Amino acid sequence: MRSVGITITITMALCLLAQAVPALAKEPGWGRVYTSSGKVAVRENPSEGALQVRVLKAGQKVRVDFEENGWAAVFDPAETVRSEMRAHGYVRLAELRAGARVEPAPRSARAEGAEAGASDKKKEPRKAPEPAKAQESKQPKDSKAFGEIRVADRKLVVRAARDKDSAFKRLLQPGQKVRVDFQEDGFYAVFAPEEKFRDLSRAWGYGRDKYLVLEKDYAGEPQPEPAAPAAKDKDAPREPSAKSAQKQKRDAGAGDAVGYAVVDRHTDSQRPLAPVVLRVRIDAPTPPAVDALRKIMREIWKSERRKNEDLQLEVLLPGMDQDGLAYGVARFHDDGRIKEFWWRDVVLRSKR
Amino acid sequence: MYQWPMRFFNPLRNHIFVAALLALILAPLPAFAQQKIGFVNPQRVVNETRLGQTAKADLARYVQEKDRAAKDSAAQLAGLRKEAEAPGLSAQDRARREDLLHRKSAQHEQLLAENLRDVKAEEGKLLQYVMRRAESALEDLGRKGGYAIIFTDPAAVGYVDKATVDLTDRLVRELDGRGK
Repeated sequence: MRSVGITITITMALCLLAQAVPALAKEPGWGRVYTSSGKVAVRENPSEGALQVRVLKAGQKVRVDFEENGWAAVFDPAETVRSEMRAHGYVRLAELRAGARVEPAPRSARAEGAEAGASDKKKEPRKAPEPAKAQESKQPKDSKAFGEIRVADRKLVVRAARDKDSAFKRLLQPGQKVRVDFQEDGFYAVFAPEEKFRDLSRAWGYGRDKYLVLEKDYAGEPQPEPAAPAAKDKDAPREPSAKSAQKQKRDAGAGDAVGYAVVDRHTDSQRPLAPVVLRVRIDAPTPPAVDALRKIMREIWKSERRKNEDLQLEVLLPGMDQDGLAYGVARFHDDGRIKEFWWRDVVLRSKR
Repeated sequence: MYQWPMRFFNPLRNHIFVAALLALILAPLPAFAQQKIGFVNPQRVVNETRLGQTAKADLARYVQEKDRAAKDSAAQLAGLRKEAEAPGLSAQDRARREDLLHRKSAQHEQLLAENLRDVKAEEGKLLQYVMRRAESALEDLGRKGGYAIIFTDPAAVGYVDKATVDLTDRLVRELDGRGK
């Protein structure tokens, strides 16, 4: 446990503004870049009911990846780190593709240099790809060509069930081809590429769908996997360390940094499955806007989470009782997406 | 026969005596006044103060967040049910899907139960927070008004004369005044 009073500087989430920064000096080698043709809602999580965190305007470019169940994560076009943690949010692919222009991602890191700067010039309308065909391709009647061939974009564990805690079956190497089908709960059933029978009993096991990419989207190299102490599972998403994230954010918007101090970390001994509750006090003279608070909390969660613990984060503002009600509370998915988030204006009213 | 000396019936002395007697009789009245009993309805404090209304808005937001998670889970469950009931599945495949469906169904039920529990807990926290803030205002009110006891549990009070005993309106004004 880190002692109370250790203050780590993080940045407020103004990645939104980074879109305006012409930082496309180097074309990242992943995802697809879409140019939105109209207003498209970006949501906090891949769900219609999730909070709308922004709206893409006509002509706005975004990088899209992590397609799943008709949803995809959107990023700054200049984003170099392929991590959902860095996503602005999620869009419905159908919405984004309606009339959108798409620019293909470069196939390899070597091609990056050649394509750097060129992507902006590719203005010819192209037919939008249909990456969500994974689900549509279930063809139970045709046992000779079921599912589709995909490639592991990193070392990926195949497990006995659609559960990251289930038994290990085998390890896929980056670039290894497999046949996939039965996409459910974020997992594909993984088969040998030459498998002819669409029968789950013949599957090797289950692998996270987001790391099984179409062959044409595979960049030819494993995705960067920065040291992440929390990554117990090999197939868990790898995130940049807090330090590097900090640095990048500082570069993006120095002066928007928000410090915080850990006030308390505790678990409810009466409830073995209860989350670990981490309370921090942020150095914000005024309560951050909701979107900014979400980003701040995600950054803190990334920095403070240990191993695979279920960490609930509670944020106090200056002057608030450290044992009293927190202002912001968030729970997270394993991959860093916010599962639940709420805040209490009542604590602000009585602070006055 | 003994007669009261006339001096006792002196009109002036007589007035003094009556005044003293009255003083003796009326002396306990201020003490009774200090033993006034009051009542505050906490539900009205929550409903009618700005602090309480803010807490209610916070709770509504929390419930909405929980509902969103429940809807997502229900949608996943519906999808699995549809897949499990799809025609043309082999017996083995169907059994696997049904097993998946049962597990998801159990998870969904657990989620709903947890949501209910969490919402109640949050409601309790917010109500407690508002009432704690109201406590100091209540103390001031009691001290200034000479109330020895102020009840806040409606269940403990059978009848309340709103005109004289119910202090809720005054507390609401006091709390809103502090919040300005």
